[in-house]
Amino acid sequence: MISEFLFHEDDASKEEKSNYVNLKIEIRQLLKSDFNRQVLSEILLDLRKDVSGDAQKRLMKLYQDLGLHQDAFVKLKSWRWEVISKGISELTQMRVEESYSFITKFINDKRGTIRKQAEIATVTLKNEGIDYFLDTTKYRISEWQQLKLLDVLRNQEDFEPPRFKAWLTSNNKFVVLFALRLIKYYNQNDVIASLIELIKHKNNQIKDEAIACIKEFNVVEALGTLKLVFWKSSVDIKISILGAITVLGTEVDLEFLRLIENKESNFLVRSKAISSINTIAPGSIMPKKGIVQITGNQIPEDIVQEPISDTEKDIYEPSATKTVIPSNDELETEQPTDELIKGPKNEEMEEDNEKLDIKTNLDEIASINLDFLPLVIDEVEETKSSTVTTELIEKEIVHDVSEITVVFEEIVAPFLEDSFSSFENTDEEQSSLDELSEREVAFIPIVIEDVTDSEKEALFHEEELTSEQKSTRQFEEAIEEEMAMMKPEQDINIGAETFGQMNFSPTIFKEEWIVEKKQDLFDETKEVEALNLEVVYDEVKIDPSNKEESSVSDDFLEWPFEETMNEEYNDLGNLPLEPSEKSTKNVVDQNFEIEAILRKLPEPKYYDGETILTMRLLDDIEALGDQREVPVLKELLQEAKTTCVIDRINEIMETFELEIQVQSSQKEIKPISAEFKPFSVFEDLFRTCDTEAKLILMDEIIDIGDEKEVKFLKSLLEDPEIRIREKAEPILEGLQNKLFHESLLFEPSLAFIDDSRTDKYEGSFLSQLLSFPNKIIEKLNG
Amino acid sequence: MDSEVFNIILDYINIVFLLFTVVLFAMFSFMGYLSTRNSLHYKNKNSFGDLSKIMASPLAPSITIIAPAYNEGMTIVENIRSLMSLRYVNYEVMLVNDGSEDDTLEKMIKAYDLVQIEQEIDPNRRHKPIRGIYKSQHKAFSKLTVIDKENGGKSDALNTGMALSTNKYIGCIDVDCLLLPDALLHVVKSFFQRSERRVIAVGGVIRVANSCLISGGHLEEIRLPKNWLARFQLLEYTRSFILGRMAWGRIDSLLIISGAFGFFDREIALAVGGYDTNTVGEDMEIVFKMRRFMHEQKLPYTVEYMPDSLCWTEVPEDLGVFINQRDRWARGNLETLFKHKDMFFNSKFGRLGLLSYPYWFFYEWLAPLLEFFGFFTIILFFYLGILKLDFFIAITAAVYMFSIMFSFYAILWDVYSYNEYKRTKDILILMLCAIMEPILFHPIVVWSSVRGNLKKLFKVNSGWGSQVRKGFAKAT
Repeated sequence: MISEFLFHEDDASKEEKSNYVNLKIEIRQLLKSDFNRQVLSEILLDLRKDVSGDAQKRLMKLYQDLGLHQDAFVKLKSWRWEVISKGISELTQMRVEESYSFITKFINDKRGTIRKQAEIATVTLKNEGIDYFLDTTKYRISEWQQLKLLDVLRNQEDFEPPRFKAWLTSNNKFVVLFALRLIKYYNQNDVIASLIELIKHKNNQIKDEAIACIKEFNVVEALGTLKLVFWKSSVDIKISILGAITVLGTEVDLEFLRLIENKESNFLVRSKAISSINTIAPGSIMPKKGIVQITGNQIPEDIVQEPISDTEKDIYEPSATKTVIPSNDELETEQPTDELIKGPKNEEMEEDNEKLDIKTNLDEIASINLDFLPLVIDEVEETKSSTVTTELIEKEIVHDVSEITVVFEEIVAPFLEDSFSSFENTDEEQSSLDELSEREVAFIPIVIEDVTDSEKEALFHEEELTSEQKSTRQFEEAIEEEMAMMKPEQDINIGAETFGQMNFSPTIFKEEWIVEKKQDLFDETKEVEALNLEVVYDEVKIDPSNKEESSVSDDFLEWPFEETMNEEYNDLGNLPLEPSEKSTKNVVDQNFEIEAILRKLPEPKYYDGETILTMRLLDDIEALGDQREVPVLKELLQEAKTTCVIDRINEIMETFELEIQVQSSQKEIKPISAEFKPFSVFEDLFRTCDTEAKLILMDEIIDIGDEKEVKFLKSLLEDPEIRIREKAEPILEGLQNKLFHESLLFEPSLAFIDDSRTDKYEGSFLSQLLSFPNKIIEKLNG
Repeated sequence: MDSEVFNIILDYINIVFLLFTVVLFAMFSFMGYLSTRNSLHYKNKNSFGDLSKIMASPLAPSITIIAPAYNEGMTIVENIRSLMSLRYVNYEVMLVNDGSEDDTLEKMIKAYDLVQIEQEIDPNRRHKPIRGIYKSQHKAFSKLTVIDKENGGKSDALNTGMALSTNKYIGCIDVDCLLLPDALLHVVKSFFQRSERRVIAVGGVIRVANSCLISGGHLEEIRLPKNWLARFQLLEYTRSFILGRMAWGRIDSLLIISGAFGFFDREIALAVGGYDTNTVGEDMEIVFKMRRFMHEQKLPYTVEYMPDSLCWTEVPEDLGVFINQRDRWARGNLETLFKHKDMFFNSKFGRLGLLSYPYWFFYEWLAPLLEFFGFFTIILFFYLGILKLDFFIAITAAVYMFSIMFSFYAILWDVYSYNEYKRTKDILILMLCAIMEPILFHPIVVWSSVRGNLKKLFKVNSGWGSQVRKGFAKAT
């Protein structure tokens, strides 16, 4: 029966039309029964879900034609919430537009189900229903209800969405939230300013939705606000913000994202920040976990570490008790040995005249200056050091080495001093030191000359080693055994010429280096001179008969004396640069070499006990005293017996006298006026301002100026600008008058009153008496 | 003198039992009333609108369904297919292979063409190490994520899924459960329908799927289980879910959400640390924790309950497995109640402390023990000759009749509300079960509970036990 109605065509035959009318009359008869009405109503409501288009429209029309909607209207008057809701629902489903005004009354009903049905009906029945709903609703709009309302709007025919930004200012935060969602859904991107403001909303849902809109509409202007609110937001909002920054951000925002990556404690937020960084700048953050650290040019040990013969090991393997301390200003940790060995590198060294690549033990370097040559330190004796020269000897006579202590202190040759001092604080040095402090560098051989090509090649293979290996013993190991066995004359062929070419800075000792030596050694040592290097070292006079008492600590004297290095010492100076550890183990085979070295050592000078004490005293006086010690020095001079003491005293006295002269010359202090020329502040201002500004400034000179401005004004009298010249003249006169009056205003009474007691005398007879002349001057001034 | 004291003690025991029974009857009656009201309200409220329309709404929230699997190789492929066919637009299925010793993972990889992916894992979340995360290469299975981890138990697997999920809501289900296609729509509605209170968890009814006709992950025909143990359990579930939880849901005092079908607000679930891995009653414990958390934060909240038949699962048909399951439930109950003992009659927690907790204490934990004790007392009284037989028979008959009546009411209401078992024969069988249950089934439940408590008391190590799944396809 119903299908007859639904599918009836207007252009049907007369017979069909007749049937249709009869059917209608029949139904109307049936609908007189309430039960039938209810059944038909249910059937039509069910059927509505199954049809669409014209059939649905006819169904709705039939529903109203049969007057079933009247029953729904009746339901609206019920007191039961489920009946009212059902009535609203029926009217909504059948699109009974005339019910709109009846249903809207329920839009703020306190019963939730009625209210929700009324909201849906309002939005469904008329296109402007959404406006009315958003304007009038006072209650919360649940998420589910928003979802349903949006679904209604999406399925509305000919729906022209209003500008939802109008509801962003609603007092009902749920209206704002829903409006935001509608704005996003309908792409109403003309609400940028409001969206930026809503990021600051206290409600997280609104904030989140605003961020989503900003992301959707690509609102780059919001980036600043997003960053601003980030730190105080919840985790979810932070993630949303980062999502927006990922889309909107540029490299400018990377700093902010990196800050989050470092500061944020929440894993998800941090992950999101990293993801954002990598999206904005791909490859910024690389995976860290599970990555094996590989140092450059690392070759497996079984390849690099070639088997070394026992002899080689004996010669070159570093002794556990020896460490070569390199003495250089610059540390090239990667290729120090190459630079020294390779020809071109040596040439470079000549040019620089100061660069020596070294490797050194970090622990040792930490406490000492690096401005010295490589030394050999006896670690057994707690970092007491010596040159390699003495070390070789020490190795030979190690059985009684603790018996004698020799102290060397060497200073750089005067002609090299400048170059060293200039290099001392260079950046290169600093960087080298920094580098040095970061890695352990044990020691390094400094100079090898006349190495054959094959030997060099063998050495350069060491480049393949790790830096640490290179910095320790690999270099020495690379030197062939036969080379180590060569005679010193062959091996270390460094004459004056060679030394000059090498030009390393080997002889600066700023720290004390103590070497224990056999006493006999000093008998054999000779004073040597380097060709172009002065060596200043200490002399220790040791009583051969009392060597047991000469301990390191007691007889450690370090006053300087000068010796000129002879040519022989040139060779000596280079000798310690050779790796020595291995050779020390073959001392027996190298006796001839050591003897040669011993001959080249400077001969020590010996003092008796009294002289030592006097010299030590003099040394202290020189170090700590000044011209006031001259009388004492004179007394000592009278008592002095040895020439060396007398010389020393004279030397110190000369130094002090020189100091007195310098000081006396400095005492002639120039007057302040000479030191500091009176300077007018206006002069400075006049340099930068235009003529008008100058004229205005000149007006101020009379009020705030003083004698400094007088000179300035006089100079203005010759100014090229006529207006300034003309104005400068009266101002100068005015200023001079003012200064004259001020000079008369001197209050002599104040000069007599102690500042701290001013209060005490204030108003007293004495103060009045003292201020009397001042009053007279004031009267004179009018 | 001694006999007088003894008589006084016996009198007190009688009073305690009488009081206990009267209160129990009263509460059950009240629960019947509450559940009826709630069911009607639910029915009326949900009669408007069409859920399916909003399944693809742009406002639909995201949900992750976490399903732990341990040695589920026999049914895993079919179970996943069922989970993937839900009618909802914005969800993800996260299957956590909890160190299965069978071919569960291999079957999944093969069936769904899974490949291992790289994903950062929150180091702050505690769970057993993850061996791999897999995603399907097929777009059709893009919703599927498989997490392979070391064995750590169900709670640990669920916590892992929770940590890896980024969606707003999480659903913790048993992988062998069968969800109806509209299940997630109902869940979303439950989460979204409140505007004045935050819905922190949503629980639903668990239906018995034994003997049901299931094809391709879909429930084709609902049938009554053929196994009597399963039938008794079906009756018990009906009573519990249709009357019990519906009533507690009505007064917002629901304390348990079934581990087989529970959905949570991820933020709150993570805030309380997820599931407790030290208890076998983790499903109850997490609801305790979440409720407690919201109380302490003074935030308005609720736990929703859906009476719709959305989740179907197999129940044990083997008596040993069944006893182990109830043993575990009893231990979980005790552990949770003990952990939150400070809530007992604590007004700070409102109805939770004054009503829900005491009910669970007296009638879920203590009742089986009292029943067990009462059984021996009756025997003792009988041998002592102090048992008034006529009174005993009368009171036993009253209790028995009440029990049957309560079960009948549950069956009736189920037929009226959801009418899952349409055949009259099925309804009659269920009624027969209701008559036999107090005599045949209930003593087994009581014994299982006593055993669980004794195990806990004497610290007998006992885990989850295992149930060999037949698989829905084979069950037919």
